[in-house]
Amino acid sequence: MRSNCLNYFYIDTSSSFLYSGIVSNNKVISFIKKNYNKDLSKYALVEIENLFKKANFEPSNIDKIIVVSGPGSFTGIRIGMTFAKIFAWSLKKEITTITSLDAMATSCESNKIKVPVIDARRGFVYAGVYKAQDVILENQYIKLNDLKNYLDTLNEEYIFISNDDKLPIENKIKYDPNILKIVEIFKDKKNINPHLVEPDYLKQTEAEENLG
Amino acid sequence: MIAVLEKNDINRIKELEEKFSNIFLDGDIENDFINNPYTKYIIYLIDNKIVGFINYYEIYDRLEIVNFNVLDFFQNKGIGSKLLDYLIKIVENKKLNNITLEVRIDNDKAIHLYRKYGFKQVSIRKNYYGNVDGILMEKEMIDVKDVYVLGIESSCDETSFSIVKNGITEIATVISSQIDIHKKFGGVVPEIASRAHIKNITFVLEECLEKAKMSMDDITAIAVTYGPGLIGSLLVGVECAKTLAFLYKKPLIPVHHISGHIYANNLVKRLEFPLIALVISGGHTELILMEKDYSFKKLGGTLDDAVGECYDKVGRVINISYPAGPIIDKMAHVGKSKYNLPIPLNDDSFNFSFSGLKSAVINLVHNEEQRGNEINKEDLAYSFQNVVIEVLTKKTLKALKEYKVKHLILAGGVAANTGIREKFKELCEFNNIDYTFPSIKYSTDNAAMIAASGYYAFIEGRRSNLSLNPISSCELK
Repeated sequence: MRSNCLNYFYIDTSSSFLYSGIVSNNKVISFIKKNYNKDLSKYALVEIENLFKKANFEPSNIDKIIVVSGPGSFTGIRIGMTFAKIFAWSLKKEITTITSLDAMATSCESNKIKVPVIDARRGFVYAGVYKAQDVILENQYIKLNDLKNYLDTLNEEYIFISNDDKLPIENKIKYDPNILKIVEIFKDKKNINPHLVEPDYLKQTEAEENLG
Repeated sequence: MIAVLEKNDINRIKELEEKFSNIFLDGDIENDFINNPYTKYIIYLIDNKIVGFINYYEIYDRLEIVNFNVLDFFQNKGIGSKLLDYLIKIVENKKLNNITLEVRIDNDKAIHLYRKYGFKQVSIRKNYYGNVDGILMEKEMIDVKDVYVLGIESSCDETSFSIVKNGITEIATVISSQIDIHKKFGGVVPEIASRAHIKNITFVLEECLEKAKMSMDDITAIAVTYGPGLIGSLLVGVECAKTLAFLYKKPLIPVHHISGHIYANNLVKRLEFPLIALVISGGHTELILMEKDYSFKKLGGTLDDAVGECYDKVGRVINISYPAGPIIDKMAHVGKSKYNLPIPLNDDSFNFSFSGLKSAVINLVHNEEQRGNEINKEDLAYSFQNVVIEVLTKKTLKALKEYKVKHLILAGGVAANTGIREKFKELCEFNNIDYTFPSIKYSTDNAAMIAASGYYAFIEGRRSNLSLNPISSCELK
């Protein structure tokens, strides 16, 4: 079913970048893509306010929110998710979540197998494997070596998508979100009750892991 | 731009007298302005030159406009309206009851402007201006009489929202505690706490508004704990507050967590100044002198562990589950004097030290075990708590005496400790010192105290913009 929504707000704070935009009538009318390093929590709301000002939009004009739920920086995820949750709950807006890996795969125009990867440290990554729009390996927390072994079994050309320079991977392209395309692809994704919108960390906390 | 005329700004005062020499004589302003604390001026500047002003008296809960003038050349440019807007903001922020003024009955332009701003004619004063009548006009500030502050607290393992009216009346409070989640880890796990906060946040906010039978539109301002605390936990509350401030265009007020604990007492009884606050919690042990609202002078604090932290560590030594404070408190009431523990940092300063006391308990338990003696936990709890009470009361009473202060308040989670309360009550009554303890419910972390503190920060004019960032450790200012 196609939704009748016209105005979409997109936000991804799962890395040190703020990726956000307002899409109206199939056009991006204002957006931001900027690296804030450690200062994302300080500037996110300021930039979002500017985004609305530039678009000459009020938050109440938005019909649906698409928020990236992770994986990535735990703290980073919570910046955008708290904003999106409170926004949807208080102004009674539709909301849905997509993963950062979905957004990365969607933005990549390659015909090869697409492998978005995010550094999760200690030899691990968050990754998913996509063929066109289909997920062939679910988003997960996985050892980079295990992922590489899996990819070799596919016997198909693949390409990594990543902004983490320290990862030992070849055939890599940088991630630059195509906000219009992401919104077009996911705008009809099922709405979630704002109370139940939750991050997808894909990884337990260390305390929970140690508890077994 | 509009500025407040400072009492020591002689150059500006001179400029004002010269520019408006038709109203003022030389030395007029100084005489009234410098000597009378109620006299105030706001001035309108263009190219750093005064072109208009309002002179008013601020007398307790009301404000009286004495003089209001704009240079002829600059009239009809909206400068008068801007000055009035600015003045009304001051009145709103300070929660004053009304503004009054007198105007010549034939000054149609001025009367029209005042009417536009909601001023109403109260009476006519015959021949007030020589042979011209004056009209007494008043603007009642009923619409801003009550300030409802939404408080948000998420600095540790409690997600809490509260609405407090005028800093003293609690309308509704909801606290979602994560204590059961953290129990199995023997203490608060920061990442787990952050995850629980974001999971709970809209549920708790919704419940709070429903309980208060209010909507966000009824809220005057949003107050949030920005620190100190766990950075990831604080972040969720701060992001929530910023989002609400942005969506509903409400003032955002940053609140220091400790000021919240102090103002928890304001929900019991209006604070009386000067006062000494003893802040005792899992993260703090501090003596603070307050001479008025929102003035905090730290007299001393712990050099190492906080008192609540010491309770938890001692609890671990004698196998008491987290949080150990309330259990040790209960056990101490049953125990007898049996073990000797040293009074930590028993000196003339206002500082505390609790890590030595914790080590002394560990050594005592170890030595008894070596000797094959079984530790009587109740007796140990008794001795431990006694030493804690001894040092807390000694230094607090010393501060009260030295600063000649007659009011004491306790603040923080450890203020719920009944042994500590009883002793302070006894000593205050003996020394004729007025005391307030926070209700047991609001001794531990909650948003009611943040909303109460936030109200006084609001009145002080403290505001934050959307770049407010949580800070894990920060001094109370």
